[in-house]
Amino acid sequence: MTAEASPTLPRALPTAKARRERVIERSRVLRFISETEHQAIGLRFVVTALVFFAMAGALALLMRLQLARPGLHVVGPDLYNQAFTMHGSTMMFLFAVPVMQGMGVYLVPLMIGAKSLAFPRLSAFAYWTYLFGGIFLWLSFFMNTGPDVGWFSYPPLAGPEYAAGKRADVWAQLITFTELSALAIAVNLIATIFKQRSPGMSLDRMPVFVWASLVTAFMVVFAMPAVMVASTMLALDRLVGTHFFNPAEGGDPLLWQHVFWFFGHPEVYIIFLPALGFVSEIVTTFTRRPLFGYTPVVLANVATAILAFGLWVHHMFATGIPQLGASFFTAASIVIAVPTGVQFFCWIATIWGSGPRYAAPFLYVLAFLATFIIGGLTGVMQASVPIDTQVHDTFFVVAHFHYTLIGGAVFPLLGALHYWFPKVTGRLSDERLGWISCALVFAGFHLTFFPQHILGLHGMTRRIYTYAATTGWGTLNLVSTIGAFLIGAGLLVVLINLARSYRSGMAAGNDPWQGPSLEWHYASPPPRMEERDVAIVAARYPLWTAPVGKVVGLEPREELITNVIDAEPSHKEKNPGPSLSPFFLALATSGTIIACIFTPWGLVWGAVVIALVLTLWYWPRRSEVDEHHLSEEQP
Amino acid sequence: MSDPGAISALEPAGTQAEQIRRLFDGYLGVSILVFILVMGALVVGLRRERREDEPPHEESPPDVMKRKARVVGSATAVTVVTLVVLLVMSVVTGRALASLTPRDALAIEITGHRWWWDVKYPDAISSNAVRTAYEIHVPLGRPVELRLVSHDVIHSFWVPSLGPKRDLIPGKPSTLVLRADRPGTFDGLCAEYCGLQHANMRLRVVVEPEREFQAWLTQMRAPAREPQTEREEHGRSVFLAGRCVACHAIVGTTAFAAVGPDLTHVGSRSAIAMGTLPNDVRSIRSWIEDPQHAKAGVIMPEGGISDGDLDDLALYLSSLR
Repeated sequence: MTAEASPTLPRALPTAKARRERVIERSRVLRFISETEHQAIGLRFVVTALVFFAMAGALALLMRLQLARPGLHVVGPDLYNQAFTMHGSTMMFLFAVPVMQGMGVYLVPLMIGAKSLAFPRLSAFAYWTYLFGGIFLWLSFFMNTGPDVGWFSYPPLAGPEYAAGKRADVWAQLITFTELSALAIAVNLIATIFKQRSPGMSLDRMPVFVWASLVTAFMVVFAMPAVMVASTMLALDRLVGTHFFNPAEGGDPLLWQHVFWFFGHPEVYIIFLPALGFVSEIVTTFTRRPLFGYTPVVLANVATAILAFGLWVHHMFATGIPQLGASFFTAASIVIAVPTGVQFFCWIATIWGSGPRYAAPFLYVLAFLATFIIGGLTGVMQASVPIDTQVHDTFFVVAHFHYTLIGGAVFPLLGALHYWFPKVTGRLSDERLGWISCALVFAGFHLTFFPQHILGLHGMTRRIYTYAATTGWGTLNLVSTIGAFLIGAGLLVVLINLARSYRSGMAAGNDPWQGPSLEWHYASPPPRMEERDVAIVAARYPLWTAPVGKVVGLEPREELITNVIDAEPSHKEKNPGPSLSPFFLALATSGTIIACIFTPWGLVWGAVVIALVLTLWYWPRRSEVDEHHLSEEQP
Repeated sequence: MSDPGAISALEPAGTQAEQIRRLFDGYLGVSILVFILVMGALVVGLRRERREDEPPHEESPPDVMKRKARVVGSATAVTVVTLVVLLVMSVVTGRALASLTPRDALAIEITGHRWWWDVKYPDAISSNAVRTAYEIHVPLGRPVELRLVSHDVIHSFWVPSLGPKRDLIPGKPSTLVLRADRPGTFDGLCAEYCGLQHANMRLRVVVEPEREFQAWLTQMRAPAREPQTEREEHGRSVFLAGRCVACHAIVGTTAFAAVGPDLTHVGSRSAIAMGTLPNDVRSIRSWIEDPQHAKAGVIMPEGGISDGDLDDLALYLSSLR
């Protein structure tokens, strides 16, 4: 990795590129912003997302304080409305999706034995765009311009007439930022999974998490454009007076709801399919058994992804959708319980009589199973139009989606963090603290959210900053607030555990859990691409069955490209290596997106700057052209 | 506020809420059963010891695998059947809810505003039409057809004890037919987030027997009560001379604006400011003096009225029963 290592590079390496790289290598800052290595990018995604998780969590505690008793004045309505909008938007767009994608960026290449992502520079661009978008949102909030129209920003409330100022624009542009980033990662993951698997890793030998990442990436590709179009239309309504959503000028507020939820419902599965992937991996390792029903589980993933696009209208039952049409969406919403049920049954069949090892990752999986099932069942209730017309927009729904998103995604994520922590850091985390944190989070969670079902049935609507004492909602709200702080305490224990173990945990070795998949084949932490071998596999669980082979004849920055179905080697390709361009392109893009809040000219001048940066990025350099020819010649 | 009204989807007072409650109970029963079965299987599976003939990292013996496949297959089949049953139950209830015909129904026009409910009882004779706010009186056992309209943002009308909620979407008027089968006072609130004071956009439904309802309607049709004392008289002149008349109406006076709630019989309502404050002279006074105090962001401007005038104004409004 140091300059001394360069003699191993071929002498043909032209000097211009080498010089550029040496300049980058010498400066810490430049090295940091030019990083394109998948482990670094993945980790940055995960760590940044966890920081946003903590910030949005702090807002949740603030809201819980305000609701602890009737008629409190911890915060006023203005701050409260910003708080729940920031909480929802941050959790959905800056935490849940990026953290799952970040896990994919880090893990997928290791699990499939690739040296890097297919488009490393694009992944760096995605990270910077995401980071700038997140900073932009939170700076706006600290400057009292945080969005206050809810995370689904219904017009006309979010339209130009009723949301004066720039708050709703901040929300609309946040969407542009994060969706851009999500799409860039999605295409990256698809290309990587399809074309860079180790020789021998045919599709039916891919780890289930890789399948989940692949399916999710396709969902992103289909869902995100819908919300980008929607948020752009909203921004246009606000900026230049198009009337897409203005009923007075022939626009339609319901159009927004259709387009938004066409994205918004798949979004939930985009968050939670990767989490189910974690669960399958952890169950396999800790039961020391191949996953029961690999094929049904994979097919269930695919089925969920397809069905997820057919049930957006169940968010709109209270708008007065005609009976017959609504029934169709009820059916679709109910049917999606089947593939999830199949996965549940397969996990239980795997666990059955396996004598599992009760380490923290497995505990979190158990917490997931016991929690998510409740979220799934209340989901079936809300698929029913009559029931939904009662519980829609109440705390019952708030409880439901926290059961699915915390129970269904955050619990598996916490399990995954404990599971892969030794791989990432080379150190084991503390078992006892793992137990304690899991118990605290689990108890706190149910204390917080179970009472909210009851509150919703007793008439407590969501997004209210206060309520009257006469409603009788006080006691359960107090319980809920206490639970929320318990969750906070549990998460603090997770943080302490991981931070302590990072400094002084026991050395983990390559494979502390006896995991089956390729990432455990590498050292912990895994070597960077220049020093990483490409494995050859002959089984679905390579580390359990056959010895793992090794591809020879690859240069340090060369990637082996294989075909889609059977992963047979087809050719080699050079990896472009570190570059400053993604950072600057992200800067230019962010500047443009932010400028567009204030003037339509932002787009014009921004486009010029972006074009300039892109031109620099793509300017053909003699050295790279030569290299390309060189690698093409090789068989 | 006066006595709290009932507010719960679990204590139905109307036919729809009743049917939804029953459907919910069915779903809940199935859910509890599923939870017990699945979690039971998990617990038993966890406690069961590993067979000795099963080395780590290998498939279970073929006989076990076969049995598992059969169990997983049947569990999936049972899931599908259960879900189909639930779907049918839901559709049947949905049809029953929709079959409540608006024949001989009482029509009520409800307009959602930021952040108050405007309520009109239309009548073929226009002078018989009644306009009020916050408190909706309905006759017991007779369907009411609520005509829901919004001209600003999306609101949602919801009285949990009576039944389904319905969004009020600008440009898309809709109707909701409800029937109350139990007399009493039932509270509700706006269910769709509508901005700063969404939390305090409450409403109340008073269900009373037909005769009492008609008596109430007759009382509402009458013009406002004339001032009885000198101070009330003065209060009225403060009202009519000030900027109150820019938004509010009091039938029988020269105030006829319809921007804010109708105040003709404001003294008869059980609360003011959409259930935020009790209806008494003191609250009315403090509300007019500083509306932002009780409902930050409310569109009603501060009065700019002198202390003495305020006292009399509050006294007058409170007398409008």
